[in-house]
Amino acid sequence: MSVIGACHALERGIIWLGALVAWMTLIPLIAVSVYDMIGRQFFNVGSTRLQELEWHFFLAVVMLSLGYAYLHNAHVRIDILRDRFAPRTSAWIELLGCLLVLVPFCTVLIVYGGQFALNAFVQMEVARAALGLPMRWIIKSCLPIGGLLLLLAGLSVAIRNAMFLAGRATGPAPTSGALQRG
Amino acid sequence: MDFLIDNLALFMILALALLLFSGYPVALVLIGVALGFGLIGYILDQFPLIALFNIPLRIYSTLAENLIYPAVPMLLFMGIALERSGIGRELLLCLQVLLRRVPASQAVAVTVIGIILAPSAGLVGASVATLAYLALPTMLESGYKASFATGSIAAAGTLGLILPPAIMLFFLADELGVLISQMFLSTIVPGLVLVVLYVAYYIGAALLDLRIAPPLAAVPVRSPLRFALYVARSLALPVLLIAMVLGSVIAGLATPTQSACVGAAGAILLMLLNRSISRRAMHEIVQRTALMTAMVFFIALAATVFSYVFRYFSGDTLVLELLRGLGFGDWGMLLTMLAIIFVLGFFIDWIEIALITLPIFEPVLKALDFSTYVGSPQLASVWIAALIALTLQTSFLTPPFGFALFFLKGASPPSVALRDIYRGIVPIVAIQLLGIALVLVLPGLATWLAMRAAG
Repeated sequence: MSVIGACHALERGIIWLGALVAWMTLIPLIAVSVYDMIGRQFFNVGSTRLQELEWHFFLAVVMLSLGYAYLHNAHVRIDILRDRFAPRTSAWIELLGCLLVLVPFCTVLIVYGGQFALNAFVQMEVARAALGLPMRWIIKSCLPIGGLLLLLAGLSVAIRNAMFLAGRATGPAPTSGALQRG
Repeated sequence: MDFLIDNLALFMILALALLLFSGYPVALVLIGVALGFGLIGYILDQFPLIALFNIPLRIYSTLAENLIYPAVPMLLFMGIALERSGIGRELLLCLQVLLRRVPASQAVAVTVIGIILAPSAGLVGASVATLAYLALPTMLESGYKASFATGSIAAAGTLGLILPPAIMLFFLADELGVLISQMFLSTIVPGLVLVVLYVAYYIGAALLDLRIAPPLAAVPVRSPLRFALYVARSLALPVLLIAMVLGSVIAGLATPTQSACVGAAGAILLMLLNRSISRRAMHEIVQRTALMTAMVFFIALAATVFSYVFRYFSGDTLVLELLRGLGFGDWGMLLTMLAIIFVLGFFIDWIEIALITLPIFEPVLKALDFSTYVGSPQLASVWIAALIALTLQTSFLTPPFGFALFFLKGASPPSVALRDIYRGIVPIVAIQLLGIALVLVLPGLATWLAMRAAG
């Protein structure tokens, strides 16, 4: 398989996973919140666990969608000048940004975030509230996993931009704009 | 070298301002500047590398244990669902029919839609573009002057920035230490004052010159019963849903998360009633919600990484001293800050402004003392928050850079020139400035409801 083909396959995988995460976090978030709201408003039963579940889903959707959103070009850019850059200039910026910022940041997230989650696992950390959810390591591991997904997305975009600069691919990535600001 | 060390934080702001224009994602630019200056600080012996361990910690504590943020994706879900399912379009058509005897009826209808729909659209660009797609073609077809039509759409779209449950208000409340319910209340009266002024201008202009906004052509007659059913389904239900979401938070009956979930679940119910629900539509709504949530909160967590390093180099005290050095009093400082926010609004959306600029201004904001002018320190924060919201809204409307105007141009048919848009926005900007002046002079406009609610 060509390098570009491998990049496309990797990106399809991340996008597929991102789409799955969106379904598996947002719909449960709404469902759990509605259930908790009915309990609190009408039956006077509040559950700390349900409330914690709400921000668990929220944190998961944010962290696990970072790479997905990058591939869809959904992250805000200030494009006043970018619109006037030559495609090669944009490709250089994207490549340098990925190598100098995205890769080190994701490394911090994976290594230190991983340690952070591991500590929670080793100490079997639980919620501070008496009736909160157990096993904080599950949600904390969203940090390194989200970092890994963003890293893979960034590496793929970096490779595609490098290929473009070398004259071996057609356009700078990421170009798909599923969610332009408009 | 000492000069460099003492002013690392200022160089951070400078680097940020330059690099933002590279067009690389804002969140990653923020993180890059933070990491880069961390490295420089390490070389200069000002920043221990182990401090990087705190980055995941700060990201986690920004998102975790938060009982309010989960409301944001659910509100976005509601807004996107109402728009994508065609409920927004139905609502507009129904309003146009109902208001057909009012002069400039379509401009008034689009303003009402702005109040109802725009706040959950989340971003200025999204809400202005949505309204333009929904309303502009019909307005132009029925002979509205392009500048008049686009002016009313831009005004209506940016109302979504200040009227609850606008997403921006969540972040402003967080930065300024105001309760979210009070934040919601603070912009209602100023927002409604603006609406009254807009509508008065639309009606007045239409009465003075019939060519600006010709009345709607005859509407097909239906039986009263079917008409009532039509109004109930396409107008009353969505309005009821949004009123419930808002009312429950404001009345203190529900937390933002609780009312947002009612909004999200209610939007699904409305889609069922409208028979506009399908697997494809749901898929698109869910995916767009996730992408938008990731986009907003990536900047939020990047901003905490940036401000962590920025504070490490005591950037906060530096900014305070710098502004103090100007020798202004409280009023001078407040107006300077509003002016800076106004200018920034020419270039960047509110997310960046609320999440980057406000943390930098935080010590200055805390040092301001308007408690005698407004009534109490708490109310003073509410008032300042409302002023910032209004300033941002105005900034997005002001030519030549106004952010909303470019999105409007992008969503308009090619026959509408940017010149038309600029011309149409002038009276609106005048109304906005009048609104800001009113809130400055009469702080009660922002604080009265909040005060009443607090008892």
